[in-house]
Amino acid sequence: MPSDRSIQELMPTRFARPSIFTWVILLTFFAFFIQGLIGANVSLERLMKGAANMGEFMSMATPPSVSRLDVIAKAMWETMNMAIVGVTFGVIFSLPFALLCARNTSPNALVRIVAINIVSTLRTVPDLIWALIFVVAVGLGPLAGILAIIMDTIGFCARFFAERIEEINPKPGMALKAAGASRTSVVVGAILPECVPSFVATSLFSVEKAVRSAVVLGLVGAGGIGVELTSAMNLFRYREALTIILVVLVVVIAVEQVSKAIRSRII
Amino acid sequence: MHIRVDNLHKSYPDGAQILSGLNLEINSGEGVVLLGANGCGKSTLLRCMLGLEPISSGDILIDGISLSHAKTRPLRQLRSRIGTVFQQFNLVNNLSVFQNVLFGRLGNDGLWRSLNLTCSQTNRDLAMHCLERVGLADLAKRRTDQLSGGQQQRVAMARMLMQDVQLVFADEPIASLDPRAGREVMDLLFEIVHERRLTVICVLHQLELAQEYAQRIVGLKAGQVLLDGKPSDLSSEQLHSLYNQGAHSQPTAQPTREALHAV
Repeated sequence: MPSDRSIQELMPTRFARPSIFTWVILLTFFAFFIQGLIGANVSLERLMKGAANMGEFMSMATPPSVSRLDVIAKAMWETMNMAIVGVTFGVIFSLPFALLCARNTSPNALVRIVAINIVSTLRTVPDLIWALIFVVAVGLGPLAGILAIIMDTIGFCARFFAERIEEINPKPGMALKAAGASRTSVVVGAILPECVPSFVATSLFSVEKAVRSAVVLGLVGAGGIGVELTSAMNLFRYREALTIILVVLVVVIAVEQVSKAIRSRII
Repeated sequence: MHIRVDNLHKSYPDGAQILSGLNLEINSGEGVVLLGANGCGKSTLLRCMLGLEPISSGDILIDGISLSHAKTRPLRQLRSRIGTVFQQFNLVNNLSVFQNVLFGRLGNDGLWRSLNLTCSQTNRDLAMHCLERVGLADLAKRRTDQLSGGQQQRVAMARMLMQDVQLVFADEPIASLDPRAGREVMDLLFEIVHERRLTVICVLHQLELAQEYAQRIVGLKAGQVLLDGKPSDLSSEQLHSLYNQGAHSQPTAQPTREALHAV
C-alpha cells in the first residue's frame, strides 16, 4: 500500500504536455488552415456583399415560377429513373465483388487483393468524374448518368456488403459443410440469408445517395434535372431555378422517408 | 459405419498440441459416449473425423476412406452420410424451419434441389416426414430463431434425418438446454439412432446421462484415450479421474479458420 505522499505522486497532472507528434500534427493543421483561409481570400467585406447578392437572388427568384412545371417534373422523373436503374445494376454487380472481397468467401488472397483494389478505385473516383468520362464515351443524356451511378454504387455497396459477409456467424455454414454442402451451397444457403437484411438497408442508402448525386450529374450533361437547373441558372431564369431546387428538396426528402420506413421494417 | 483412428496427432498453428497419438476403433452400430474435461480434444477429434480440420499426423479411416488423403468430392460424399448435432444448433436463423430441414439434402442433391422454391416434391414430402418424426411438423413455416433451444435442436435432428445418415456425431447436444429439454433431446436422438441402427459418437459432460445412454464410454485426457469400456465396467472413480486437473489441462481449442470458414 503506497503512503499518502506517493499516492499524490502517482496522480496524473491536470494537463499533460502534448507529445512532439501531437505538436507536429497541430502545427501542420494550423498552417494548412491559415494558408487556406488566405488563399480563398475570405474577408468580412466579401461575405457581407455575398449576403446582399444572395438577398437580391432571392428577390429575383420569388415567387417560384410554375410555368414550366411539367418539363421540370419530367426531368425529375428522369433523375429518379437514373438513380433506380443505376443502383439496381450497381447492387447486382456489387454482390460478386463483395464475395470476392470478403476474407471468408474469397477463393484466394490474390483474387481478394485484386477485387478490393478494383472496388476502392471505383469508390475513390468521384461520381462527377465518372459522369464526365461517360458523357465522352456514350454522349450526353441519362445513360452516362446511369453508368456513373453504377460505378459509384459498386464502390459503396461492394465494400459494405463485404464487411457484412465477414461479420457472419460461421457456425451455420460449418454445419452445412459438415453435411456435405459445397462452397456455393454454403454461400447461398447460410451466408447470404444472414446478410440479406443488411444488404437491403445498404442498397436503400445507395438509392438515397444516388438520387442526390443524379441531380448533380445533370450539371455535366449526364441527364436528369441537373441539366434543367444549369440552363435555368445560365439564362438568369432564377424563378424557374428556385422551383427546380424546391422540387429536388421535396423528392430527396420523400425518398429518404420512404427508405427509412422500409429499413425500419426489415431490420 | 466403421471408424478407425490411427495414432492421430493434431496441433494448432499456435503450437497447442490437442491430440497426441490417439487410437480408437468404433464398429458399425455402436453407441459411444465421449467424455473428458474441457480442452481434452473431444470436439477437435469430431472435427477431424469430419475432415473439417486438417490432421497433423496419423490417420482416420471411415468405411475405409482415409481422411488424411481424401479429395474434396469423396470427402463431401462421406460427410453427406454423417449427421452432426451441435451444441449451438447451428441453424440458419433467417430462414424457415422447413428450409433448414431441406438443407440436409445439400450434400446428396446439391443446392438447386435443396431450396424450397426449386426442390422436388419428393424432397418436400421427405422434409415434412422428418419434421413429423421430431414432433415439429406444425412449426414448419416458422423462422428458426423464433423457436426454443430444445425445438431448434430437434430441427437440427430433422435436418440430420434428411441426409442418408449412417453415422451421427453429437457435440455436446444438450449443453445449451435445460435439464428437461436436454433429456427430451437425448431420448429422441437415441430413439432415432436405435430405429435406424446408426453408429453414434456423442460428446457429453453429464456422467449419469453417459452411463444411461452409452453402450460404450470412451474417456479422453490430454489428447489420448484414457478409458474405454462398457458403462457397467467403469467405476465412478475412474470416470471422475478424467476431470482431475492434470499437467496437460488446456484451454478449449477453438475451431481454426479452416474449420469455421465455410468456403
